[in-house]
Amino acid sequence: MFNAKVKSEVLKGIIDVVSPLVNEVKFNITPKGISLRAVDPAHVAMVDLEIKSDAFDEYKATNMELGIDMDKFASIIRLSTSNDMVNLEYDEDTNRLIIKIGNLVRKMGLIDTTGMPDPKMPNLNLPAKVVLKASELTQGVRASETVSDHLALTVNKDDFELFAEGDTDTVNLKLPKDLLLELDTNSKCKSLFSIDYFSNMIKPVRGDDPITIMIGNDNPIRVEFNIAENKGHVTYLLAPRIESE
Amino acid sequence: MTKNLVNPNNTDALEFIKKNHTNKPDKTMLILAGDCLIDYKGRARSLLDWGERVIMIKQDGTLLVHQPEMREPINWQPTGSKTEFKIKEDKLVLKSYIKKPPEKMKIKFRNIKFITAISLKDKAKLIISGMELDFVNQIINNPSIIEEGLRVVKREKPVKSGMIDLFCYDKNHTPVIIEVKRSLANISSVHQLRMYVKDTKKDVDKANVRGILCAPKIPDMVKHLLLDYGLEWIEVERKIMLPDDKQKTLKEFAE
Repeated sequence: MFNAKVKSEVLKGIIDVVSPLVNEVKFNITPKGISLRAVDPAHVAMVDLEIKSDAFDEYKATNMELGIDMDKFASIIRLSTSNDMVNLEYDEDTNRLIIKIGNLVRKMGLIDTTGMPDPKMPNLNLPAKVVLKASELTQGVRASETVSDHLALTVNKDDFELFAEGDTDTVNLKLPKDLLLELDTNSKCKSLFSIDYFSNMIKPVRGDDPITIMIGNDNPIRVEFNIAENKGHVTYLLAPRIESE
Repeated sequence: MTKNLVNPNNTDALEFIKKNHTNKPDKTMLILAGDCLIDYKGRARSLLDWGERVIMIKQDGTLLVHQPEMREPINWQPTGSKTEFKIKEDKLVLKSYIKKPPEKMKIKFRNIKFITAISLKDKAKLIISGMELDFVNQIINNPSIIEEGLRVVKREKPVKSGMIDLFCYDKNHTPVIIEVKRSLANISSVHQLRMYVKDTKKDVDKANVRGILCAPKIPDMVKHLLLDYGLEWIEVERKIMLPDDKQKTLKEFAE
């Protein structure tokens, strides 16, 4: 059983976080809230999202799973504006999700969740931690997009650095400790990442909101931030790229 | 089962085909060579005048027409097409048709050099290493990656300013030049495509020639330039991106 009423922008936030990575997602519904975990088809990135029931204006649920086609879901929610209230209700008889936006009723078929995996979050050794405002990072990433398809992130004892290099052009962003909200590392840590994947991961975060980044050496990166006014939490993992040499 | 017939007349040819292909419970492949005229009607129309070619009808109904030269078939019918043979006005006529997408091809023979009917078994899957699977090959195998109704006619077609990756026709029979970049698309890619389109307009003597730039990633600035020049782009979705040797997966870090 699932019946909830929530502001459209909360759903748009979930869609922005999940859909760049994967299209078919299993939503785990409990009385306390919704969670999901999915890996992209190339197995390069993982998203883990939890959203508490108090992010919703109304929320009533029992333990169940909903298989959602994110493209379809996104095209429906796009019909609403951010402040619209959206009503979601699971229809057991027809196995559909009934989405109500104002007077519009849209019934959406669900995906069979049997066989949908529950990916495990790998245990990673990521000794360096940086917390910074999203806006500090997005500028560097946007600059890197026209230069290369990958970037290097380095955490030093006193600063956090983003570097991208193309055939003839480079981008360098160095943020000293005092421009960061937090910097914690015992040694220098550096890893390379695909700009495409990385930029999709940080795109949903509002400029002023903090992003937590954990890096190791040639290890996956762990990116964390809150959504839905801190009532939702997102964790991303992105596998690294190997150095060209 | 292999059955051959050399230089048959129409009646013998039709009887051979009925006996060894149409009436065979096992699916058979038919290969014919002869002087033929090909009338195709699908989302476009084409007429290939009399000429000697090899026609191959595969066990799933796919039909290929190969001229004596060049690598790519000059025309084809998709998998699932149905074939019918008859004699009309003293010529052997092959009709191949399919409903979805709606395509019809009529091949008239005025001379048949040989017919082979053969039943082949092949369940092997091609194993390709990361570097070999080219995005260009993916487009050739499945042109609907770019758009529905696109037909790839030539790969690596030389023009005055260089070599076109893919020369195609769209469903309106407008020539389409496709330039594929394996990594980031940049401004020089746009100029390259622009020159190819210009050269092609002269070669085919048509005012309307489309140019499409395909790349995994196209920066906004490059997109604006493409728009200014009346060119198009397609950013390859992650799902069909090339396997990337330099990108690790999360599986490598699991316990």
